Amino acid sequence: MSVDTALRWTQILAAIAALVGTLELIVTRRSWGDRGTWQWRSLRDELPWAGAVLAARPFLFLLILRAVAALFLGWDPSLVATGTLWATSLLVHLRFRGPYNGGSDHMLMLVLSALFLASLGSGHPVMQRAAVVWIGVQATLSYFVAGVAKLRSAGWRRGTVLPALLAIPAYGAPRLARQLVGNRTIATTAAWGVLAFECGFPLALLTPAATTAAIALAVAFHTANAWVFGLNRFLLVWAATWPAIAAVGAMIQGARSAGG
Amino acid sequence: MLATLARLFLPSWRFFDDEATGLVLKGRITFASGAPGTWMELLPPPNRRLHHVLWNPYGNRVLAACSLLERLTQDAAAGEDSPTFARTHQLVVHLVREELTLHEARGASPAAFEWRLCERTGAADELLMASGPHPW
Repeated sequence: MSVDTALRWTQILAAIAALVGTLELIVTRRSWGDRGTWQWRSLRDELPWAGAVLAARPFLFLLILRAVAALFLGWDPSLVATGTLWATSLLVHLRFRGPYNGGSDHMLMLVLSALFLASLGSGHPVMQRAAVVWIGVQATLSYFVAGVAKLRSAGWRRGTVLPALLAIPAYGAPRLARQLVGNRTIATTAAWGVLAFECGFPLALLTPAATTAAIALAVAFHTANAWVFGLNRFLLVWAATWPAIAAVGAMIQGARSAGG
Repeated sequence: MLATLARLFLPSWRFFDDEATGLVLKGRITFASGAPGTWMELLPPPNRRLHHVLWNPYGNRVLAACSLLERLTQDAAAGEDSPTFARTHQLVVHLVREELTLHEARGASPAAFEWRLCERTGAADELLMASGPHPW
């Protein structure tokens, strides 16, 4: 995949992820309204300069602006759209004293930062390439680091972590999934499948077939996580990184062909 | 704020890397008559539907609330006299009131409420934190 194509697909998919996340926040506005959990009255001491944009009513307008910026990024990307989406995402992050949904917010912010820098350097192929490489490397690292961290856990190696995770009430895991991992053989096999997929992910960059296979596995992995754990934002945000992974893979494969 | 930004741009990517225990938040109201309600488990996740694979606002709200509870335990470990802990604690109090309003107190006339934070390991709940009564 070429850098230009990867960048365009990243813009479209990141726009969808940001739009869905923004609309979800608007739907649950009761929780950050004046009588909700994240009410501004209790947060303003940390960000006394930000009341004009982060108090309940202006925050709703900020979310609407973010949704509009996401639509523009997906439809007809410009520096203004990308910069607005980046800035409003940063403010949302500050509003909740960190990520609202953990790693997916981290990854979306990294992707948007890279897209913003690429927009700033529009017309400079080096900047475009750097943005795509940055996203691809971070995405590859996200799988690999997560895999290595799991591999160091005896519980993952024994297959006991997955049943414990699915038993956490907040995830609301479907009964079928809980029953499946209740079987020790299935739980251990699934755990080692996750370990192999995540730890082996960098191999995806070596050949076109490996890239295709790894992205296909990633689609299945994130879709399963979205269904089992309700982590829809991880699916949407990581999908925005897959074009960059394909592009970085193509760069490495091209360099190996030229060198060999 | 700087710490928040640093965490944002330097993610660890260490997802689900160890045995996890679930935090469970329980709350109950005291009615205007003085009679206490029953303890109830708060933050019930929505029943999974196929569309949650792409659209899950209430599920994500529950997960964000659980992150807030995890933060409360981390801030408590760092020192309960810190302003950070006090702020997180205050947000959890708001969370309990919001949840009780949604699931228990609608239509009732509560005078106060209290909450407990527990850690669920297997079938047992270990008490981590308990509040006194908060005026409604």
